[in-house]
Amino acid sequence: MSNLSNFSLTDLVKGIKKKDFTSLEITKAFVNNSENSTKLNTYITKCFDEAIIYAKNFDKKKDYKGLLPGIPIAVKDLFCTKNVKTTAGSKILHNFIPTYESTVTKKLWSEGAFLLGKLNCDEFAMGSSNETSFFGNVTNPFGDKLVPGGSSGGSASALAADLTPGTIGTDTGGSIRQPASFTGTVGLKPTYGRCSRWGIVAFASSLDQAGPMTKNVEDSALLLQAMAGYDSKDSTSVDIKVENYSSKLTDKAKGLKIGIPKEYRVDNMPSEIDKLWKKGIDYLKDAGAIIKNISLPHTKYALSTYYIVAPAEASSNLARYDGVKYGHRSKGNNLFEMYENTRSDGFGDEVKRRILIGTYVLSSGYYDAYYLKAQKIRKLIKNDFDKVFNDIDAILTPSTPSAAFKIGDKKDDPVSMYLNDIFTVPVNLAGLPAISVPAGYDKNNLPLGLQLIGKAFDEQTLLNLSLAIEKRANFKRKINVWWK
Amino acid sequence: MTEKKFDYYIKGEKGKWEVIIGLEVHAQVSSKSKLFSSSPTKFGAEPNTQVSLVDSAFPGMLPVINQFCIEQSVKTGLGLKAKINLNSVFVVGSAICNIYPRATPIAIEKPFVAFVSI
Repeated sequence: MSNLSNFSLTDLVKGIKKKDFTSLEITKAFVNNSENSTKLNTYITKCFDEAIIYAKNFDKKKDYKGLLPGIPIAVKDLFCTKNVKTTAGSKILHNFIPTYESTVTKKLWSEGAFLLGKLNCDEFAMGSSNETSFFGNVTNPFGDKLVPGGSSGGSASALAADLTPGTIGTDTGGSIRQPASFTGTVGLKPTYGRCSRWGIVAFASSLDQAGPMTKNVEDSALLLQAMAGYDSKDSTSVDIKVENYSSKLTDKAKGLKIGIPKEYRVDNMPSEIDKLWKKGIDYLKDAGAIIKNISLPHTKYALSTYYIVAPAEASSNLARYDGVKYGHRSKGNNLFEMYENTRSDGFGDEVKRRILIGTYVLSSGYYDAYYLKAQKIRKLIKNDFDKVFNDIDAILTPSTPSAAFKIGDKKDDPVSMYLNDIFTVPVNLAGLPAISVPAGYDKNNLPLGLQLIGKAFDEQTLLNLSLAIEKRANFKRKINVWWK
Repeated sequence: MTEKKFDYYIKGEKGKWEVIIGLEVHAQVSSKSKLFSSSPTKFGAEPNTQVSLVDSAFPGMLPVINQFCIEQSVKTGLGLKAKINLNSVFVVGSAICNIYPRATPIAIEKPFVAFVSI
């Protein structure tokens, strides 16, 4: 039998239903790969023994009804998993074991999937290179010196290295799409409100959204369908019908109008990214789409707006980590000293930086000048999108301004690190869905992705257009396994 | 809403001062569960029995507004002949409270009931 770990998620589901192979065979293939992946540092918590037991039980019960029957899945360590350690990549939660299961993971398990392990990520999802994790940086399977992107870096790396057949991440400013672009995989950030945020460790509540990370577009449709839906426990989740994305998937784009925003042509962008963008336009034209030049005039303010709104929300969300009821606790001579020591010792530098920024922009005297102004600009950015979507169906841009960079390259330069999210951040501010689909390579043979941005709750069109690009780009992940 | 004429003035050094007295009344809705969680609110119950993961600010927990409390506040507003706002906006605050550092006090930007005039 060929190596099951190379199979797409969709093919694994088809195969297991046809009884070509068992859940145990699939699970063993991924466990075996995962056990030999120490150098990638993708896992924070391994649940391999439990997964094997679950697979054996599944094979006895033979319940093939769900969307993901007998499929082991490793997830980003930001999703709370019942009785399994959930760290958010932070020392302050290094020993935290939830008594509850996040809605999104619960939905996956109710479709027949089970947990393979918890994947490394930037601390509290704050980072673009997976270098801020308390559990060490993750390496990109495309090269032993390369970052996998972030914050869902462990998820992207594990997926590209065939350690899990599919995975889920969270995206606050590009944390699904940027690592997907860096690892030649497909990453979808659904519309804000499409998937429940209940049980996901919060970073910035008005921007966070969970989404699927997969080897191809077909898998993305399948995994989105499994995880999406209204949840009464998340008041911002929206009660709109979840489509049968897989059955409606088509690569035909006849008559669809695609906008090309001139503001996304940034200075110093490598020429190969510009070339890739042009290729993407050709692919979509070939699929029958109509290309239109558009303008999103407030794009240039998106990054600075994001770095006010996100830290402000983070400083509020992270105030709960005080060492009292759960997680890490440092000693102190009195209550206040204990709080201070716990937080000084428990949070890493990037998290502290954002708490400081957030507290500053929310403090009296600065609130109007920073936070309130940022909220107003956020609205203008949203209006830009609303206006163009009167006339078009989706927007095509590059996913990132560069391919994966070297470990350590941007670690001491937060602004240059933040600039990596320049194309992804506006989407979160506007609450729209967007997907990164691999489309080519740069001169160093590193993968590059294209981003499609869609109308709110129109993930289907994004998936369809991505399929059109995927078929034409004919992208193959060229990974030489160096880490075993 | 009709403007009510006030006619109580006191004499100041340079002119008349109109006296308007406002009352801020805090009242608790007698609901079976809390305003933002499903924990019970039984007075005098055993310690740690009236608390949930949401109240204790466990990671990933989200507040959900109590529908009964909204209904009661709207009823109160109607009883007081107040204007009822059809849209209300909640914002997450970030006040620092040393005893209870879960800094998610929830402020309401547009309340359910506004402009009461008796």
